[in-house]
Amino acid sequence: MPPYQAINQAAGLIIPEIILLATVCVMFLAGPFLVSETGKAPAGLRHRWGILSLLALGAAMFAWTKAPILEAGAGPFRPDEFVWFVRGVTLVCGMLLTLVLWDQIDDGHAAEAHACLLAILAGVNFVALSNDLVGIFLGLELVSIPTYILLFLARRDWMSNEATIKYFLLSIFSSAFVLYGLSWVFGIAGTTNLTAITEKISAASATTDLGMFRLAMVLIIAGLSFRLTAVPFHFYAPDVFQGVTSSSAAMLSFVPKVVGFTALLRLLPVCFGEAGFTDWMPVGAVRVVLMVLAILTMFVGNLLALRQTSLMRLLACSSIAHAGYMLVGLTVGNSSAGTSGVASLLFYLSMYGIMTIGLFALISAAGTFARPLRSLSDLAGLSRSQPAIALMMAVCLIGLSGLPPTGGFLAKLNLFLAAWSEGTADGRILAITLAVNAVIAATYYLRMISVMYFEQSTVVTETARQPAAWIAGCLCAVATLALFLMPQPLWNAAVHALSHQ
Amino acid sequence: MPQGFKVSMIALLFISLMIPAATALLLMLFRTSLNQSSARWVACCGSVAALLFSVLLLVQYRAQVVDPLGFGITPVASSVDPASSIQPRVEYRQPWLKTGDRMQLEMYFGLDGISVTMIALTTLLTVCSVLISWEAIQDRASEFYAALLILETGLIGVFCSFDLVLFYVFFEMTLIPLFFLIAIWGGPERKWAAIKFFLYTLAGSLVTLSGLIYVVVHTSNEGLANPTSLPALSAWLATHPLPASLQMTLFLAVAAGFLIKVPVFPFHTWLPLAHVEAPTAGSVLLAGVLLKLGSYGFLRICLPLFPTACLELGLPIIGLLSVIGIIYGSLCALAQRDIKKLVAYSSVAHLGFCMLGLFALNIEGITGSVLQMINHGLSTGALFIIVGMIYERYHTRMMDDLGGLASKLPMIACSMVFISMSSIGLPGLNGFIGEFLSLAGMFKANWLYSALGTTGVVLGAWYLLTAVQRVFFGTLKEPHHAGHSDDEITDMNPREFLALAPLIVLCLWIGVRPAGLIEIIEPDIKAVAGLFESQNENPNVALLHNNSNVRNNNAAMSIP
Repeated sequence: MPPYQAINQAAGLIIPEIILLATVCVMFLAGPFLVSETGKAPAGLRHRWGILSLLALGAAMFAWTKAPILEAGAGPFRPDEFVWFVRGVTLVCGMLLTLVLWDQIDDGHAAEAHACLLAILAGVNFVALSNDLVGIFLGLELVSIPTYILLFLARRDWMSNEATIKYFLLSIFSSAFVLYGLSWVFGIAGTTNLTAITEKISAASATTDLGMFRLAMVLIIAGLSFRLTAVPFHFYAPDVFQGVTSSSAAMLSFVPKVVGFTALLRLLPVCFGEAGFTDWMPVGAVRVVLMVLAILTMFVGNLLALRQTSLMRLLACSSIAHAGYMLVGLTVGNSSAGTSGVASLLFYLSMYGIMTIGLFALISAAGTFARPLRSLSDLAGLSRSQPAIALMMAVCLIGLSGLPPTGGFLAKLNLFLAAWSEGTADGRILAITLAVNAVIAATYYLRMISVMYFEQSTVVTETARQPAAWIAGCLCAVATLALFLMPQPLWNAAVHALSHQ
Repeated sequence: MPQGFKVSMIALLFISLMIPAATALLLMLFRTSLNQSSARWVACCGSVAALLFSVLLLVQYRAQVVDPLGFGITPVASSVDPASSIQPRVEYRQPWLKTGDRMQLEMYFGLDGISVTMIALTTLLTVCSVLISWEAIQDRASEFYAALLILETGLIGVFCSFDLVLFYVFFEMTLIPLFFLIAIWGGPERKWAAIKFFLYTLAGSLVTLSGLIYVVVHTSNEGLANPTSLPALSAWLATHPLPASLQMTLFLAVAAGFLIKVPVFPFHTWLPLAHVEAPTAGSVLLAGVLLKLGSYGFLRICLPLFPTACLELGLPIIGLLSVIGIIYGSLCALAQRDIKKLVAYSSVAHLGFCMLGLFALNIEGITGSVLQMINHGLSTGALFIIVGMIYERYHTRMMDDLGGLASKLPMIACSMVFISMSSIGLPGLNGFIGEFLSLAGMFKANWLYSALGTTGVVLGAWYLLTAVQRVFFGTLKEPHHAGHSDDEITDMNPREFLALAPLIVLCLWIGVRPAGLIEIIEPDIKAVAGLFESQNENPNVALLHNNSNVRNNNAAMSIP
């Protein structure tokens, strides 16, 4: 096959990403021309960029519905059912994140900020799509580099600078870990193509000891744990969340988790010599590592959150804890007995995205650009000043705490059932840890609700209309409730994502 | 059975479930524009509407399911396995979440005689709670009534859920509103009381959840397609019984949450504190309905799922603890100075009768137990209402500070005497029939427990009559409270009368004609009791035989 034909063919598999990246190019190119040299932009320019961003996402979503679902081959991409799921999650959450970002950015920087967000989303998809170690790494970097810019663009005070620098340094550090792990895989297998690696490992595993893979996998897990905010790679999260705007925090609380779990779900089965997810479950040292990570992450995240007074730090800790819950699903794996852990993980991930983006959207909508909500006491009296926002926020918080009647309850229940029905002592320990942590977490989420509803506001807060964030929050709150009543489609999508043989 | 009526019964159920939730949502959304007076009217309308619909439901259930002509009761809902000891007569099933071939959650709402009466009790007591809070709750009235109505939604939901997960969802849903009711509108020690209540019950119910999950996963692995459906699960376990040792472990795990909720001695320590600190409305619902979730849980889950464990452990452990609870609770009540605490401890004793009847594991005992649930809801609810009335007038609940109020408050005194008689178990009033049947049932199983339990009746008469005598009779003694000159103290007003009158009427009606109530709950009790009366024979064959008998046989139970 001539090279141009192969490229043409490959390009046909990534049309949604091409749409996103083309829009990114347009925004980066055209953006500076609409802003004067002093950085002044015509008022309301951000609305145009926001609409363009939504249109691009809409077009990508249309292309997503038309995109073919193919078997993995020797080519650079493998658009299987898993990619279909990841694309759906990123595009839907991308729309919500665009709405949150809308009024959190000044007119002069709107083009770049929206472009960065789209690039991040495309990067997530590339991680899922890649059939190659290099491709996965490039995808991870396509997420990281725009993130640094996005964090820096939205606000420029010393706190934001510190947060951005901290995130930048640690992110590079973790990328190095991942790269080192990937190079081990390459060194052992002699190729970077995932399909070829899988074949080699499944052929070799009968005779050879693949001890080196364990080291490679541990390095990869460690590097990606930074993105998941899994303990002990979590310590940057509270500082960064506190420094950046709530739209950036919304992005940080969700997108890195998606990309981290996507990469893990792509790489770990390969390292075990499995082409698909059927009956895949981590064994041996990797399972122990994941289990320890999960338990530590849940406990540390929740216990840290108990003592926080800063709203963003608290939510950062809650975001850490949620990574722990999801790691339970990964540890259990996709065993055929009982409920699938990986499907529960994907269900939880989507549910968590909706609830956490909704919460951050409502926090943005409740504050103003000049004076965002920062501490827990800023929530006081919210139910009087903005009853609708308070009610929707309460829905998202109840969802995050895993209490009915929200989809968050079912998401936790699935993880619990998956861990318990696995039938081993490890699984039971994980399930019980999950339940205990759900109780610990309930205390601080309930505290937030009680501050909103039962404490009087001490300061007079002016409110600014932020309809975009309000709409995003409203959609998320409604979805949180709707997915309690009708969870089956989401579950089916998660199972479908894993159906690739 | 015509299809049309089925739909309408379920529709009525959903309406009674949704009205409180919708009203609560309304109150929360418009809380800034509602003042105290409009909030209470909204809450009143909502709760009265829910009451009307649930009474309609009860009437229709009685007319349609309990056949008045004696042709036998209407068969159970078509999808229920006849071997099941839980038989909803009307049901609504909607697939909810299927996460595996053998793991399927359902929106499984259903109705049987027990649930339909408990729902009516809930809606009635909620109306009373709203009426009794009319003046007492000045601060954040909108939120108060919203919490009360969310609590009502959760309670109704528990009684109509026939899916284990759904049951648990509603069971937990009742915790949060009551936590806020105590923590915000409670007495001086409210924060601690609320936290103690919350932690105790949550810890217990988590143990319950893990036990339930174990059963669900176990039966699912054994091959049951929908292991969270209660009727299916109980039918499956009747034919594939769990090993006895496993049953006992699971029984104890599942019982943990219910024992705390009831509460059975020695898990009762949260109760007096929570009652004393809760606002009157909270106490009424807590004592009237919330505690029954525990005994209802035993009846619905422990008895059908773990019959062997119930036979093995029920009498030696739960029965013994109940007897201790009856005597200990009564003695504690006798020693109280605070009249609200006295009523709270009397709850411990009265629910001891309820548990004693339940674990007699025969028809008489279980019938007595269910009646005792309803009776205790009515009479203790009314007692808390009266205590609330006194507190509203004198701002004290200490019996030492009060005396001879009968001359000042004749109607309150009159109702108090009446309700005390009902609570003591005077023949002709409702308390008698429940306690008698519970103890009679227990006498069959273990005469010693029954004899010891009977002392509770005597002690009950002692502490309640002492309280009545000290507070209402003798020389007039009123606390001199700042800002309350004597002429402000008035007898029961029409609103308070409306709150109390239905309870008094029902106490009398159930006492005089218990058959009306028993014929509604009896078939369902027979189905459960059949599980135990056949245990000594070949269990499986006898069970099927017995159940088919139950469904064909409508011979009214002989009422002593």
